[in-house]
Amino acid sequence: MKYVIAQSAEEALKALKDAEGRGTIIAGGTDVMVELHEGERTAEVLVDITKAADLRGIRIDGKEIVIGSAATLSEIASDPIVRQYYPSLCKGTGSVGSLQIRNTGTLVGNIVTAQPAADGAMSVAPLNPVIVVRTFDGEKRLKISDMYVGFGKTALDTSKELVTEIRIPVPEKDEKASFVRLELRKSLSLPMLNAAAMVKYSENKVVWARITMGPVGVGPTRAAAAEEWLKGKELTEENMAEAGRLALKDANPRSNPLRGSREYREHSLPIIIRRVLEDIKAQF
Amino acid sequence: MTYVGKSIPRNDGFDKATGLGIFTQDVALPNMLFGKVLRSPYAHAKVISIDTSAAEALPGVEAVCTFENTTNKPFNTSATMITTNPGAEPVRDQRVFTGEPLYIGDEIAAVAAVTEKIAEDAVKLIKVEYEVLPAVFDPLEAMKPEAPDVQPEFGCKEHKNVCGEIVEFGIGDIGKGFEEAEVIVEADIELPRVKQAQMETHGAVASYKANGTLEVYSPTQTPHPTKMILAYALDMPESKIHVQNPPYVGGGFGVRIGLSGKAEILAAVLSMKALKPVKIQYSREEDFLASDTRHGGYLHCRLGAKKDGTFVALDTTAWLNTGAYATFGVELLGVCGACGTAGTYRVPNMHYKGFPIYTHQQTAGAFRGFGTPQGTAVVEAAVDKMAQKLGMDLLELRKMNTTKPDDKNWFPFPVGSVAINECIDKAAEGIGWKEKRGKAQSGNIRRGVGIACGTHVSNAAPFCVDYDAVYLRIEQDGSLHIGTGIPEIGPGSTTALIQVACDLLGVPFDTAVMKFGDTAAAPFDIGSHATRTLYAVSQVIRDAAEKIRKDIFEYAADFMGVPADKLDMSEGIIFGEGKEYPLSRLAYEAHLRGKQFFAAECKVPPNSLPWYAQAAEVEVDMELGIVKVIKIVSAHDVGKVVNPRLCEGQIEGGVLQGVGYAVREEMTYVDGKGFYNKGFHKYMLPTADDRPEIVPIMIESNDPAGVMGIKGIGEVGLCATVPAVLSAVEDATGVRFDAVPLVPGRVIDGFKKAGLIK
Repeated sequence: MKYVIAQSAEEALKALKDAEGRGTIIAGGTDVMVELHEGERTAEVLVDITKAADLRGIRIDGKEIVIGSAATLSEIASDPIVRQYYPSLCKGTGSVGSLQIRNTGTLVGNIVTAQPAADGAMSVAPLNPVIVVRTFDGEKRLKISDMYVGFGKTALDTSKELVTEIRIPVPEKDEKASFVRLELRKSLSLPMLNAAAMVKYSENKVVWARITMGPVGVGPTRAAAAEEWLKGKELTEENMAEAGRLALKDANPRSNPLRGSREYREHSLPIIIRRVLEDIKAQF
Repeated sequence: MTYVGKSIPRNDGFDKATGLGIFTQDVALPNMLFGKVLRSPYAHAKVISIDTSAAEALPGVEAVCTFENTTNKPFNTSATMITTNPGAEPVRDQRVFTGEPLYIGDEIAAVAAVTEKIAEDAVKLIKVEYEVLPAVFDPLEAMKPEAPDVQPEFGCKEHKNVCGEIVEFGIGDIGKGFEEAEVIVEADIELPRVKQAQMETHGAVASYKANGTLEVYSPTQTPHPTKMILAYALDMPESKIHVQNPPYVGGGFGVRIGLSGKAEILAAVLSMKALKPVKIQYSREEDFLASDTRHGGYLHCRLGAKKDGTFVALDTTAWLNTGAYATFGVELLGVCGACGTAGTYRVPNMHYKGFPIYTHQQTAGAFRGFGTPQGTAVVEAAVDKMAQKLGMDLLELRKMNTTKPDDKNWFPFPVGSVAINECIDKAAEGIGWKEKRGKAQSGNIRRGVGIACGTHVSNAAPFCVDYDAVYLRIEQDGSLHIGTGIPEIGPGSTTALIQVACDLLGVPFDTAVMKFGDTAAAPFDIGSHATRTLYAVSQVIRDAAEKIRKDIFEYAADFMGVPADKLDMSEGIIFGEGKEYPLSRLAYEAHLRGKQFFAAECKVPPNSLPWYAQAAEVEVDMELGIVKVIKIVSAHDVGKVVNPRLCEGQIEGGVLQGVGYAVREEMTYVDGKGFYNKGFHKYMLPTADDRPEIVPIMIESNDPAGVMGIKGIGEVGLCATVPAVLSAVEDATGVRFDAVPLVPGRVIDGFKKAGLIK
């Protein structure tokens, strides 16, 4: 196996091209290495992007927060810019795996592995992020919903494509976000359920709401019925509870021998959604 | 005392902190092969045919062993095989490989090859045709007449699927006791199967040579018994087998009292065929799914008392799931009754019946507490109910009924020192019992406190063959060398024992060493189990120390011109009648004259009851059913504290294991697929982030039977956590759960049943 340490996005793409489909991008390697070890993935060339200066770091660019694809979950969770605008993203990225995993794993990796309850992906999903992807021919800009094609299946071809950064709009003063995780333990465990939301709330009325939840479908799943119903409504206890109940319309949770039965998840999801909204309301 | 009572850094600390310590997985011998095991995918089946030709033909494969070409002598992988008291027979129901697998994971065949990868590939090339047979998984189902027989050859003949025998004992007259009772309560509990989850997976390196010798490295908790089990099962002289820890062991918690899984014997049979050393290292999945667990199952308890609260009758029955093979099944059901139900309270009429039940699941065996947590869980539930029925305070009812120092209870040895009521008081005080218990609450987040208490043992004697031998020698420069067969499985037993030995002898700690974990280091020692190592081995060290001191003083008398009976020794300086003489000089003078000071002693240690009370504080999210343990105050009557930091460490580790048992840990059986819990990701062991505040309290009652007053601490940190947490949850929510772990789904179901939520 060949291991290429790319110094830039350009070099990484060249290495992928040279590998002719037999290469893959590796950042923190917290999933790639496990999958290679377990025989669930094969690759002849690993293209390491962690040293690529143009893929690292977190910065403000005009009206957008830009998170490089090589930025680690720990970097994001403790970043002052992210903390200022999106504490919920700090919470979500700070909930993935364990401290050791967060010190090397990336938010982009957390999206690309396409697990339906990935805490990092869940917390960024309602923030309307744009995922910037470089291909051999140019660049494309994807929405988070474009990233998933099935359970654990990403839309990205990591032998040909490279995420360079995530661009998240800086929130307006009347826009707040939150993230909640229903967990069996604090570390090294996927949640039983997680949810995130972002709400534009003006003059005690919901202008719009984006609510995502998992694992209740493919990737972070939008609670479309609840979002629609909330429009124009005040965030009262009753309305937030009703939105929680409506979230079930878009959710299809499955039973897991460890992380809760379908019945328990259906019992808990409305409560989690209500709490996500309560947390948002508390920020206004 | 110079060393006892001080938190001296552990003797294995340097090796472990620097990574220089050698564990079994570090052992590499010249020409070593790697072994992999073929395991049954079915819970119950018969092998119709097995074809190993493709595996044997794979380049790099050097040995393939199956049930067809390997000894089929029945044995038992646990130490019980060689420690069952005279008059009783151990259950020998296991074979190295089987043609009729009894659980998903049972060993059918194994391969040794030049690399682990080739061995793995070769295992996949073995073609096996199975006839799938009916299986039974629940112990109560297994006792029904129509259930399939799990062990038709070795099971108890009189009772369906009972392994060995039904364990039954008591004192007084239980019928009369309940006639006298004015108030009677009943309690039930259902307990899960949980896993030891020790850090180092099972493994072994075995090297058999054509001259008939077998060298074994493994993380066994019992090197000598392991040697004897191997000699029996392989029909070899014990003298030709050498078993050693390398010397470190990555945890035990009871999972390797005897063989480490089956690693030693699997590696040995492959090595005997290949005539090369063979290493077998279980994957975490194999460790989880193909080695002993804690016994899950059902318990029922009936408690009778007078109106003033005096207990008069206690009757408990346990139906525990032993799984496919016996290992410690019978013994564990005995301890469940003895320590879990017969020790804590003074009850004149006590009866216990325990059923170790065979099922087609992986074997349950020894795990820290060894039946005591199960028995304690149901008895403490009954005591809480009794207090409620009588309208008495939980603490007062307990304290008036606990065993007192001059009591004669069921145990065949004196009760000894008893500080259980002090434990109850300290635990209650530490948790804030008076301010917190019984507070009416509303709102979604509710808090509650609970308590439970109990006892265990400090040793397994006289319930099984259990003795120690040590060998002490004074080196030619006066330093102390101790040879023992005990292992160091992590708690720091060897450090604490050196502290005790140095104080008993009067020699410096800095230059004292212990050789441990090796059958060649000293004569027989049963090893580390039953909360015994420090307690039991200090007994025999005391005898040897007395002998060696006598020898030293007699020899020194001439050099010092002081009669031997006027001499004493401290920190390596012999003194008496105003004169001093260093041991270092005496040892060398003796050497020049052809003498070394040494002593070997062997004895059956006595036994003492360690007492404890644990108070828990929990927080419950009523909507989501999330139970969070916030704080545990764990008070222990340890007799005498030898090394405070190590003792606290034992308590803290035990408590965290108990918290996992109470709220999160559970092995879940999925029909047709087996246990879901293939590794840490699929088993909710608490992590460091989940740790509640743990307050260890050590109470010194100076036990009359213990050296310097010592009793055991090893297992007891977790024995009362389940009932303490259940009691706290009841305090917070008003609902008494009769099953653990308190995972959110179970809690919500309980709240629904209680009408708290729709």
